[in-house]
Order: sequence, then C-alpha cells, then structure tokens
Amino acid sequence: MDITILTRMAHDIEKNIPVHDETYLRISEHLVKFWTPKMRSDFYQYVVSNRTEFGSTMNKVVDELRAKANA
Amino acid sequence: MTILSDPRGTMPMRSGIGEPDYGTPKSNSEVMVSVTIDGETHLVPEGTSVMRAAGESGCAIPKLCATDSLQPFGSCRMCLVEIDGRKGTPASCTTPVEDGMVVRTQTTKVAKLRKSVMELYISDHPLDCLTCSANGDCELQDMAGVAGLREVRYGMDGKNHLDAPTDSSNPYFSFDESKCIVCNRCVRACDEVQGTLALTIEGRGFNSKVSPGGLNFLSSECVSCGACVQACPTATLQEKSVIDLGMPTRTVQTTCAYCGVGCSFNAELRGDELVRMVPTKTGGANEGHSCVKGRFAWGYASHSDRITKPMLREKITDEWREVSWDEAIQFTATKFIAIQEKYGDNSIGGISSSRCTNEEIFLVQKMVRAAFGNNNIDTCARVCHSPTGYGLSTTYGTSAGTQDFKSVAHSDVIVVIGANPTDAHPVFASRMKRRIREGANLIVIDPRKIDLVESAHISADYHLQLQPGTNVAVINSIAHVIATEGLIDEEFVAQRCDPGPFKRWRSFIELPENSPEVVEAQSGVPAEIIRQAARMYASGKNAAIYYGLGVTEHSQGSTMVMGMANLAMATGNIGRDGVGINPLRGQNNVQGACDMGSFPHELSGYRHVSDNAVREQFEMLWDVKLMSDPGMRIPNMFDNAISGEFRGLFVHGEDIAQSDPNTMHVEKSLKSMDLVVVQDLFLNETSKFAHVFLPGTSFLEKDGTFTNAERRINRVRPVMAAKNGKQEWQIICEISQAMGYDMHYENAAQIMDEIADITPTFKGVSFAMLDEVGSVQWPCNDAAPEGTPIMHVDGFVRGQGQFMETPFVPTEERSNRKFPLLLTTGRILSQYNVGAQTRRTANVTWHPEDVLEIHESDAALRGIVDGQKIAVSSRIGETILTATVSNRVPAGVVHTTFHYPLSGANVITTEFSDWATNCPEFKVTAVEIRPADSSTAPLNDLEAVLTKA
Ligand code: SF4
Ligand code: SF4
Ligand code: SF4
Ligand code: FES
Repeated sequence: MDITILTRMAHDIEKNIPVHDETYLRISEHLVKFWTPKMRSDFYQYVVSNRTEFGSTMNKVVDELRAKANA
Repeated sequence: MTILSDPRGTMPMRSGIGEPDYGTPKSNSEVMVSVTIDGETHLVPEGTSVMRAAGESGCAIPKLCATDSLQPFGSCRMCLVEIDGRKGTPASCTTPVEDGMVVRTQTTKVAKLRKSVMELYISDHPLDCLTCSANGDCELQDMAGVAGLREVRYGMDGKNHLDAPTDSSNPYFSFDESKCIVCNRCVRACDEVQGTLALTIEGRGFNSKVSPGGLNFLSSECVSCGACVQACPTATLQEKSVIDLGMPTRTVQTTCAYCGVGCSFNAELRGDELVRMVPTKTGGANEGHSCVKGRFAWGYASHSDRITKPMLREKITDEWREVSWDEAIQFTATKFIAIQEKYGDNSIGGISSSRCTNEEIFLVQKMVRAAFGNNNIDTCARVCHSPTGYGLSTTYGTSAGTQDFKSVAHSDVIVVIGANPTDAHPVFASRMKRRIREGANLIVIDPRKIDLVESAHISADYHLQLQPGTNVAVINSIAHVIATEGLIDEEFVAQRCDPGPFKRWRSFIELPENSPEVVEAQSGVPAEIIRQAARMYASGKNAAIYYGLGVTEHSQGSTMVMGMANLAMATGNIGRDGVGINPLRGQNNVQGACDMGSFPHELSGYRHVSDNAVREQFEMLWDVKLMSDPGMRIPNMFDNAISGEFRGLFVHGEDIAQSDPNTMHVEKSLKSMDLVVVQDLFLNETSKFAHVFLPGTSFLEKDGTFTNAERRINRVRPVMAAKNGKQEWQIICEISQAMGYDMHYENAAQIMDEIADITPTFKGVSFAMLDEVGSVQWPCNDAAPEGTPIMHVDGFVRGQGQFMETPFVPTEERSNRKFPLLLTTGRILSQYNVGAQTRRTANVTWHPEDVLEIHESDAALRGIVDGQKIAVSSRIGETILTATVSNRVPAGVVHTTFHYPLSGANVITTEFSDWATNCPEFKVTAVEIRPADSSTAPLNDLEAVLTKA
C-alpha cells in the first residue's frame, strides 16, 4: 500500500488523539486493533527511516510496537 | 368477568387482510374499570372507548368514521348505542367507558337508527359493488350488510356526487371522489399518523369534499405514504395495483428492505402475484405506518432489468455470457484459489451489504474468514455508520443506538443532528413529529434547512446552521456551556461514569477554546444560539439525540459520536424512555451487518479477532484456524489493489463504484484486480469491472432476518420464488465448498441458530421465536429473554461510562479561492441510496434526476439560474448537475443527492476520511461551479469526465 496513504492515516490518528499520558497507549492500541500486519510493518519501517516527519509520541509508539513484534 | 387488555384473537372488523380494527386506539392506563356490554361484564383499561371495549369482547359495533389508528371523530353516527342512565343514543367511538357502565349495542332502537344512516350514505353512492375494486374489502359494503339495508327509499335521482371526477395523478393510488362518504378518516390519517396535513375537508354540508390542495394529489403536499389509502373505508382512495390486479387473497408478513426503520408489512398476494404491501399494525417499528418506498416502490423486484442467470467473462472488455450455476461457481472458486496461490492468502477479500439478511451477511464473513482464510471482509457500513460503532463502543461499550423508536414519545427535547428523518427515515419522522406537535422542543443542527426546521405545525426552537465540517466544534461548545453553567448531572456522572476520564474531559471541555464565542467564528453559529440550545438540552426532563450520516461521514465522524455520547452522560440522558443517543441507520440492515461480524477486525457480537477465547470458540464451531490480526478495510482494499497486492474481490449486493468516494480511484482499483465477482439484482456500475455476475434475490424472495436501527430483529419471509433459482446463502455455501471449505445448511433458520449459538447478544433468537413474538431487540439472551428495548438502564455495557476528550481538528478539505463552495450530500424521500431499486419504480415521478441546490447569492454571482445545467468541479473531478436555486442551503454551501449514476456525485468527493474508521468524508468537498458549456464533458460520458479530471 502506498506509504503516503499510511502516513496520512497515521498523522490523522496522531492529531485526533489528545496529548496526555495515555496518548501513546491509545495510538498503539488503535494501530494494533485496526491496521493489518502488513500496513503496520510498512509504516514502522518508514518511520524508522523518516523519524523527523513524526512527533515523539508516534516515534515511541513505533519503537515499542516494533520491539513487541520482534520479541 | 373477563379482562380485556390486548386481545389478538378476535377480529371484529377488517383493515387490510387479517388485521383486527377495534375502532379507537388502545388505552395505556393501568387503572381498570368494569363495564357490562350486552349482559356480559368485562374489565378494561380506563379511557377505553365503548366501541373498543365492545369490539374486544367480541360484540363488534358498526362504524364508518372510526378506525383504531386514529382518534375518534364521531361524525358518521353508525356506532350509536344505548347506555343505562344516559339520554339518547351516544356514539360509542367517542364515549369512554366508565366504571359500572351498562351498555346495550344491539337494540331495536339503535338498529333502526343505523339503518337510516346507512340509507342516506348509500343514496349518494354508486351501486357498482360487484365490479368495484374494493368489493370484499369495503367497510361501507360490510356496514350496509350489518345494518340490514335492503333498499334505498329515497332513490338515486336526487342531487348527488355520482359524477364526481377521479384524480389519478398519483402513480400509485387513485382518488375516486364519487365514492367518498366524507368520513374524514383520510384527513385525520394524514394529520395524526403521517403528520403532513396535506388534506382538508373543503366546503360545507352537501358540498363538503376531501381536498388535497393544489390541483391534485401529485401537485399537493402529499408524500404518498399511503396512510389515507389505508384508512379509507371505501374504494375512494385505492391502490392502482388493486384496481389492476384485483383484491388480494393471501398474506405473507415480511419487512421492508429500504431504510433502517425496518417497517413490517403484509405482502398481499393474489395467487402468486404481489398486489400490495400493507404496513402491519403489530409491526414494532412502524405500528401500521409506512412511506412511499416500502408501501409502493416494490415493483423493481420484477423489473425486466433483473439478471436471473449467472454470467462470466474473461476480461472486462468482453461481452457477458450466460453460464450454468455450476460453471459460475467453479470459475469463481478456481480463480480465487489461483490468485491466492500466486499472490498469497491476503490477496483476496469480500464486501458484504447492509441490504442483505443477517444470515447472508453472516455467511459472507464466514466464507472470507474460513474459506478465503483471511480477515479481509468489510461492509458498506464502512462508508456510513462505522464511526457510530467506534464512538459508542468506546464510550458506552456497544455499537448500537440506546433506545427503541417508541421512546421518542417520552422526549421533552429532541435534538436532530446531521439527519433528515422526513426524507430518509420517514416513518420514524412521523412519530417524532407527533411528539413535537404535542409540545416537545426541537433543536436541529444541520448546514441545510431540512423540513423539520419549518413544516406543517412544526418549527424548530433552534436551528444551528453550522458550516459543514464543524460538528465537533459545535458539540464541544454545547458541552462547554453545560459544564461551565453548572448544568452537569453530577449525581448521574458520579454513579454511572468512570471518574478519571470524566475529570479529564471536564478540564478539556471548560477550556475557553470550546466556548460558544470562539466556536461562533469557526462554525458560523451565533454564540447566543449555542448557549440557549445547550440550556434547553440540559434542562429538559428527557432529552434525546437522533443523528445520521451528517455526523458520521466526516473526518471527525468518530469524534463527533463520542462528543454526543459525552453530552448524554453529562446530563444524565441515558438509560430510560425519552433520552439516549440514536443513530438513524441509512440502509435496512446496517445494524445487522455490523452485528454479524462484517468488519475486518471483529467477529459477530463485536468481539475482536485477537481475542483468543472468542476465536477458539469460532474455530471449534467452524473447524478451521482463523487469523488473529485485522484484515483490510474497503479503502485499504482499493489502495492495495492499485499497488498490486490485492487481486480478487467478492462484492455482495453493493455498488461500490457508485456509492464510494472518489470514483476515479475506485474504478482504477477495480480495473487493477484479476477477479471481481458481483452478486446483485441488476448490472450496476461495479459490474462494469466484474468478471463474474451472480444474480441475487430481492427482499421479496429472501428468507431471513433484518435488524433495524433500534436493534429490532425482524423476519423477512419469501413472498415469491427466487427468480434466480437459489437463495443467496446457498450461493455463498457453494463457493466456499468449491474452494475446499465445507459449508452447508438445510435452511436459513439453521444459520440463525448458528449465529445465536456463537453470539451472546443473539443467544435467545431463532426463527421459531420470531415467528411467535413478531420481533425482538437484542440483547436477547438468558439475562433478557424478551429482548432489550432500552440499553444501559442500570449500568453501561462496558461497566462505567467513559468520557472521551474530543478536540476539534478542522478538516483539511477547505474552501479556497479555486474551490470556494462546500458541497454536502444527502438523500430525498422517494429515492434510496444509489437508486438501483427506486429508479426502477414510479418513484422517478418525484425525482427524475439529482440536482444541485445553490443559494441565490452564489447563483447570482455566477450567473446561474434555476434549472440550468452546471459543471461542478472539485480537486478530484468534475460532473454536471442541474441547478436548483434554494434558500435551504446557506451562502457558500451547495447540496446534492447521489441517486443517479449519471450525476457522478462521487466523481468529485475526495479521499479524506474519518481518522478512526476511514468512513469517507462525503459531507465536505470544496467545489466550484459554473454554467456548463460546450467544453464541458457530456453528462453521460463519465469516462470523458474522468479523463479530463
Ligand atoms: S376519501 Fe375515503 S377516508 Fe377520505 S373522506 Fe372519503 S371515504 Fe372517508
Ligand atoms: S398519501 Fe400520506 S401524505 Fe399523501 S395525502 Fe395520504 S396520508 Fe397524506
Ligand atoms: S420508513 Fe423505511 S422501512 Fe419504513 S416503509 Fe419507508 S423505507 Fe421502508
Ligand atoms: S364510528 Fe362512531 S360516529 Fe362514526
């Protein structure tokens, strides 16, 4: 799937989930609950190579989810 | 002494085939009073009329102007009785029973009076009973018999109405004035049941007559609901199908397949031919009412365009060729398997339709999960109410509306947000209008001035005419007023809601950025109006919110659903009659499609595929290993098709090429696939890109259930034999079997048994149970064996209600210099969705094409006049529509419907979608319009339009 679509979806999620302690958890839960494994892995890969395009929360989400997936 | 409260067994009078008519409405009083009728004593609820008490006891009193769907009127004098201790002969329809009353219904005195009354009626009535279309179903004829009338002493030569003209202007019924007895039932039906007030009695005495206003019925305010036709005791108002085909002789009870109201109907047949559809009084959703679609627009089922034989082609440029079912099924299965072998298990998927039965939908998702071996199943609810599922399950714990339809009768404040019930959910709108006429307050939040804002005897207290795309800002500002003006129901919140999220929500909502004064600049709604509306909602005893696609089809659809859920919790408007959060579902079985596990992330009963315990239950029952990760949503399927990962699609009863946004993108993705299988009634826009066409069954041929917007599970019974020779669930089983997964059922009832077996909220449901009780609202299980009309009564499904912060994030789709107008889309009464059904009926009389509503200032600025062809362009594409200059939309906003493929409304809608569910943002598209000229692509050349775009 076109990575620009995935990043747009991720930015939409990031913008709409209010920033506080639970933001990280809610975004992770959302990705795991609604995105296919392929969408997730393509997205993680993109974030890792383009970290500055995303805020610290999304970077943290991706790092944690990648760690979990590789565990 | 017998107690008479709700008898079903007796049938004193006819109203349609087999439905008793007790003359006046039932009393809901719990106080019982005693009455003696013709020597027998009975107990009846206080307020019951003498006529109804007599009818319920089996002593039918003759009547003409009374019928139990209307308040008594007392004009015909056929129902006279004698009552001990009372002078004269009172009309039994207008006389309520009093405790100890002694009534005589069959005395010589009343018999004589009734006969004289009848004689007068008949002296001015054509005596063509034997050739009249209503012969055998005419109350005047019946009453003449009951009164013992054998001759008319006055003769027929005096002044009369026998030559009065017939108005045949309505495509579905005629009005033969010569047969009218001026009983007023039609006028009252239009007022009391439908709420349109289209009819009046014009003139006085001998000259009095029914008038639809205007020239005739067609040019009047009439919305063709059929209530007057049903109420008419003579052949004056008669269905044309009865006039053409004759009186029906048998009945099959079934459910309308159009909107989410889910009205119950008696399909009345003569032999095997359907003659008419009559709404049933025992139907839980409609209680005897209907709209023009369900009542009259069923002819599409027998339309000559129906495809009844399977068809194949290797390439979409080839001609279709008819094949046997075996060949079609084998071709489909072999191709799907070949694609999976080449591109992997995830390369195919399916889309189910809310137009199909629960049983069919359940099997489509089962086929995808078990036979395809993936979770790539989605439903058309993706493009309408998926945000409802997300928002309500997050806040309350379940993906469904909280109330039954009857609940609105207890509402003191009704808020309608982004919905147009009089057009899209007409029978529910009639209930709502009745309550508003009784005095409930009404708040409408909508960019467009819908009918409810101002119509006969209805006027909204507040119309918050917001800019498209600012719903969340407005709902937040309403909540801000409630929170900052001390209007929160602290007790309810403390008892029922999770305190942590509430505290956080409260701090968020009280921020100045959510104040009406700030939101006024964003939404265009004056701050003071927001404040007053908020106070009205919070201080009404029972306040209810009803909403539609104007809430969900936005980039913040899910946020808005949560915003409304917050509001109901904050004011304690949950868990009893008259309150709640109520999605008005567009299609007949949107609720059912969601319940049946059609979303890629959840199994039936809204249980996530990653839940090991749940998945194991399914694996055991289905004898197959299931995937634990979510599959693709519809837009993911399209995107993945274009990138080459997704190659095969089964489309069940859905015209995605017309109904989904950004047509060019959808068509490109369909063209990219190796196999597109369409199962439908007609060749449609999607089938242009299909390799296999499998003919489907209309609702008149289906056997199963639909679940309406109030969670009511209704039976759909076959009225006629399947024209394609197979039930759709059989076709799904055969494809699965051909793909190597054994799926077999003897009948549809067995499928429901499996659904009940594996879905906790359906545990008590079966065809046998539904046949016995009529319908039931889920959850229906050991805890609620009779179903659940109102949810969250003692606690939320998720335990404590969860407040969610709902920050307003403006859509990226904004008007600008190039595209200065905002287009929003909607529906109209006579058409339904993409129009595949209604366009094949006489409903086209009212809506022969989609039009673009435009405010007069925007039209004047561009030199556009009413009726002119105009080109409408967005950054995605361009289409052509006819302009209607209208003050329904504010300046800067234009509106159209999407019922005709040629309109190409979705050629211009964009790829933006709800952040949580990817429900398309149909309701906001920045556009520009200009008069169409020769450089504009012709209307019927979509390809040219697309290429140009
Ligand atoms: S049209 Fe029918 S219902 Fe209406 S007044 Fe005449 S007889 Fe009565
Ligand atoms: S069909 Fe319905 S709207 Fe039309 S006149 Fe009869 S009751 Fe009124
Ligand atoms: S209101 Fe809806 S369900 Fe009822 S008759 Fe009309 S279209 Fe059918
Ligand atoms: S039925 Fe009672 S007055 Fe007509």
